Amino acid sequence: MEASARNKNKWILAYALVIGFLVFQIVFYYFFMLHYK
Amino acid sequence: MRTADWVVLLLTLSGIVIYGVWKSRKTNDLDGYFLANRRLPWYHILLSVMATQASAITFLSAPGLGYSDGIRFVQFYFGLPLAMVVICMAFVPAFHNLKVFTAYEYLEGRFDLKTRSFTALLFLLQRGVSNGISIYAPSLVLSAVLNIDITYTTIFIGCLVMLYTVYGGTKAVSHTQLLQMLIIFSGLIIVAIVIVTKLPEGIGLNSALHLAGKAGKLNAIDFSFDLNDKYNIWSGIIGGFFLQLSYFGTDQSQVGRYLTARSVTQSRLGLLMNGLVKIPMQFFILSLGALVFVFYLFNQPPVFFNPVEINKLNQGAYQKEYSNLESEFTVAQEERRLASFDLAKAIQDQDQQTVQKAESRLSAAEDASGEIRQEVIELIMTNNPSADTNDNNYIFLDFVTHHLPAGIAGLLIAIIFLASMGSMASGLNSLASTTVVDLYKRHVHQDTDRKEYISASRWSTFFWGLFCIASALFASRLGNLIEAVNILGSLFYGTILGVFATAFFLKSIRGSAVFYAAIVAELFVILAWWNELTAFLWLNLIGCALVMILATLIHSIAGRR
Repeated sequence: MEASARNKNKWILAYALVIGFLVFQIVFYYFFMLHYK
Repeated sequence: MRTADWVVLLLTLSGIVIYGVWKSRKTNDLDGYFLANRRLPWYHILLSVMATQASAITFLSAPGLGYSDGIRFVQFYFGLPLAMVVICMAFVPAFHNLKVFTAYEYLEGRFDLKTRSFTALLFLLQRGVSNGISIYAPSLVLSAVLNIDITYTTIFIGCLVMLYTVYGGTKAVSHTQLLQMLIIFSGLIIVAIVIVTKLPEGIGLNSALHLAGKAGKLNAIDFSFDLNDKYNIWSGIIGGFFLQLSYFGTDQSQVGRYLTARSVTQSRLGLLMNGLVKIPMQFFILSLGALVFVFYLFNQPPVFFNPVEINKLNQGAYQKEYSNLESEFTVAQEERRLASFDLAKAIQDQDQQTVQKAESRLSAAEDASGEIRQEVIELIMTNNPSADTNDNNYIFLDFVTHHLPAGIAGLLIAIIFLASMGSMASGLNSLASTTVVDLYKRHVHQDTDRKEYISASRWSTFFWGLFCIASALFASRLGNLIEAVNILGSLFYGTILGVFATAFFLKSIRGSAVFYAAIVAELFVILAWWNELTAFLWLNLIGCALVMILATLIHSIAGRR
């Protein structure tokens, strides 16, 4: 695979991780709220 | 404030200033003054963008919100990670590849000079005033708590910042922000540990969180959709996305931070890390407020947290009435304390029936305290009709100055100062860079030597420093300050973002179309806010969408002609 394509894929993975972490946090805070309600 | 607190405070502040001046001692061209020679690594970018966004308002208002309203304000930041991704994809490469000094410089090449100048002016207006609020907020609170006239605290903060910002520019700003954020993080962790250790025996962190939850302070997520509701997940993700996209993508105070990176990769890494770390940080700060609430379930809180208004009551005609209400509040507080112990024990014993009874008892005690507090607020209004009855911004500082050990209180006060200074420094630097690069260099002196530009940059920084101090001194109370800053941002960010979004994503649109679209959109946003058509977060989306739609319409009409 070309270096630039590999590089692009790395960034896409990084973006996906950031968005994935956001989703994880929303779920976490929701259950955190329910647990202590 | 004890002697140890003053020592820690003054040592921390002087250390920061000296460090900033020392680190920027070889700055002698515009690249160095405004962009630190484009050499900084990702972690520098990360701490710099965090320090720029997290002003003193974050550390005063956010815990206060956590105390009074709960932690739902965390939803406000849910759009931020999405904004970071878009900025990394579209904005960072565009700005880096063109080697611009300011975000608005990019617009001349893409559109025309008038669009660049108009957008730069919108930024100067918005940032100039909000920088004033950013100094005013902590000055007001610090003056009340330290018992020093607000004029002196405002001038003191302003002058400290001007000292290293005028001399060293972005290098001084970035290096001091790195140090400031490390101190701030350490201080907050220490406060969290101290709060938990000061809870009564038998009440640990888990019990404290249960109590906070039962009192409705851990209501992090709200799925209801209401355009007039300030904080729910939808306004946070959608409205917040546009606000953060505009703030980080088009506000020079942030763009200037990540343009200092040594490469596109370093800029992106810094911004993505910000997207990972920002929400947990805000959650932590808001939770501190919720923990302070729990602390005050077991310890006597002031009936009203602003000491200035309480002093006025004690020295005024209503001193006796206030004294009576204070006695009633003490009795109500005792009931709160006992109800809290019962509830904590019932939760630990996992006895649901007793939990419900104890919860009702605590709720009734809260209502009783709340009624007395309301009566005190009405008394304050009677005593002083122009009094600010929102004491949110004083809650955390009251806790810090009365309940933290010697030295640590001074560290926390220093943190409030540092946060204010970090934001103000970025703001000043960005105001100066936009003034010099987009206005002075472009319209007045296009070809002159390096020394004159550096001199103009320093004078510009100095002028904006004075402007910000002046606007802080004359700023009247604007209600909740963290809201005031974001409302001000929402009035302008949507339009500015619309111009940049058109630049990046609507390639066929030319300068005049977007210029006239921006003017109309800005007028509409201001009218919409004035007439309270919707909650302020949505103004960002409205402004941005209007610019893009109108620009497309104007372009197609002009094309047909």
